Amino acid sequence: MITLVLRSIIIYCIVLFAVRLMGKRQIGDMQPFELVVTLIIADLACIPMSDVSIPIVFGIVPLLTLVILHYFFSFINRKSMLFRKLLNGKPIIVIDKQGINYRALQKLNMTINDLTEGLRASQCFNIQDVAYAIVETNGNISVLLKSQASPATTSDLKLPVEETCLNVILINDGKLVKENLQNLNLDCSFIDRILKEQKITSVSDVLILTINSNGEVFFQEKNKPSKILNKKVST
Amino acid sequence: MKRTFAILFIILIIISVCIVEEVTLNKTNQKLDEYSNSLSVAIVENKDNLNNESVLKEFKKLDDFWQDTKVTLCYLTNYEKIKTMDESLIKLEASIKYNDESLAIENISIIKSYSEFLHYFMGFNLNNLL
Repeated sequence: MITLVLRSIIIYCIVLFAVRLMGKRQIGDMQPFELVVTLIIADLACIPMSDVSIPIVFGIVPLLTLVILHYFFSFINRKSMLFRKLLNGKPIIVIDKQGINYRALQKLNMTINDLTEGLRASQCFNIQDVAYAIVETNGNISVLLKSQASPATTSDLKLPVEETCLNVILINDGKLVKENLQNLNLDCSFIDRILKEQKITSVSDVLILTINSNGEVFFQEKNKPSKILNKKVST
Repeated sequence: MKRTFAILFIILIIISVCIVEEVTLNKTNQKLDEYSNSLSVAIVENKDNLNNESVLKEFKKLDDFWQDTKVTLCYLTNYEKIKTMDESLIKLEASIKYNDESLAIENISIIKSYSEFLHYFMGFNLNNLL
């Protein structure tokens, strides 16, 4: 039984390493060749994990071979347009100005139900509002709404808006993120000052503390409501 | 860059495993053949009394070699597939001990055919590939 436990740990680490090497895509965003590798890896990992008569190498070597193959395919996929087209296919327009392209749907093995479901997933509930719908190579449906159905943006309304700012985490679940502090040219005294103002003795009591490029601080103590510190801190 | 190094490292590991497998396989095949041939010659020469020093010496050579090789083979193939060899060696030992020439020759034949079979199911060939 100890063998099984140790084998499971080894294979788990190797699969984790393999998946990390392969990138960060979600299952739904995978291209066909990525999905194939993921499915096979899952199956390969199980065999030597449960059967001790099979050497662990029987699971590791094919797994690592798949990782290399995936890396190789991804590399060519990035470099060659032709290969990309062969491997992933190309996006197909299923709705255009003429309406639904039935032939394209047949080619994609899609039903009207699949199409309407995809449109709803893209927040489009009225098919008459769609100017173009494109089935992407990963199976997602991208929708371009007709001008009259598109939501108004602040530029359409000519409204003055503040620039969007990126929040940077300085304290994450009681732990100081020193790297982010350094990137913002801040030091620990900045954190100490905020903690002192909020009457908190230790960083470990803070759930989250973020700062944006406007110097606004979002702050929440553990098991207490959040606060946005109105006093702007210059960064 | 880090990823490329990792991939190169993995390629090296895979190539090493493949080389180790091929070398072990060829060596095992060759040595098993050599030791079993010498043993069968010794058995034929001493068929009246198998329990003598020359037969026992040849058997020991074969047995020692197998015990060493078995450890490496366990990393490379299914345990079930190397069981046959162990069984044949035990029977061979018993047949030598009880002076049973025909049983000894039979088991040597099994060992020889196993040596070929080992290459057949583990080695790189078109049959295995397909």
